[in-house]
Amino acid sequence: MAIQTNKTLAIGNTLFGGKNGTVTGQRYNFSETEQPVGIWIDGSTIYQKTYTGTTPSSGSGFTQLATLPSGFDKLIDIEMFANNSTYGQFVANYASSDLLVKTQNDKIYVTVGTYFKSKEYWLTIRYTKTQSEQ
Amino acid sequence: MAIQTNRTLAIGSNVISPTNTLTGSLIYSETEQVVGTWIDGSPVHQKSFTGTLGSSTSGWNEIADLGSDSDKVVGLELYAYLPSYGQFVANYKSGLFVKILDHKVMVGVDSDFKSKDFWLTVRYTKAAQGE
Repeated sequence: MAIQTNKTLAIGNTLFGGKNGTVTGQRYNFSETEQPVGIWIDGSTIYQKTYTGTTPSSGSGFTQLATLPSGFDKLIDIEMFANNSTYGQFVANYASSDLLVKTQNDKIYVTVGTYFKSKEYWLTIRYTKTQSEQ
Repeated sequence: MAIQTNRTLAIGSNVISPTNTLTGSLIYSETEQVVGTWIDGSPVHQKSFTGTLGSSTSGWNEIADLGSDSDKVVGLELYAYLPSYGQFVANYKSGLFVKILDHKVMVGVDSDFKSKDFWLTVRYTKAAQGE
């Protein structure tokens, strides 16, 4: 087997490669602190960060939920859940306007319907960063 | 850094363990496994389910039981197959909704998705003992 030195090398939980050199972590080790977890198709580092909190209590349409990490570039993956203690844990995007999530510029926005206002949420994003932030 | 020879070595897409078998976090199983940690340090468990969606288009129907000690769902991937139309990802319009209630994965389906094959993978924490 030929060793392809331009690809990722992983030993244990540590990945080596990408434009940022060493990458430590696993996809399913969640943290509220930004951490590198993988390599995007262009060789740039994929970062992961988890947010927790309470959804907006009011408003219609998209409302600001959180500020994205500095240097945020491309969203690779987003997983958002919100808990209504009566009806259960729901996965975004749910229905046409009950629980929708997006990023725009440097923020995360959500649309929450009646059943999802002021509810506990947890959200994980995976993303690349701009060249200057790599 | 010292290389720990009892761990996994991956070069490119080739993953090699001491026993020469594939390993890693992208191994799906219908047996519950620990695949990581949540922000509070508690284990994240993963389990896959396959089956057939319910035949009722009314309300929510159970498709998987995560166990009474399951707590917060932190990852969920649900797909269903409609012959002639393809594989669809939940939540697809009003045809394939999913939620978790009372430790069970529940779906709401329309007439297109009822009785169709599904495959589901859930990642979740468990309640600490004594809670």
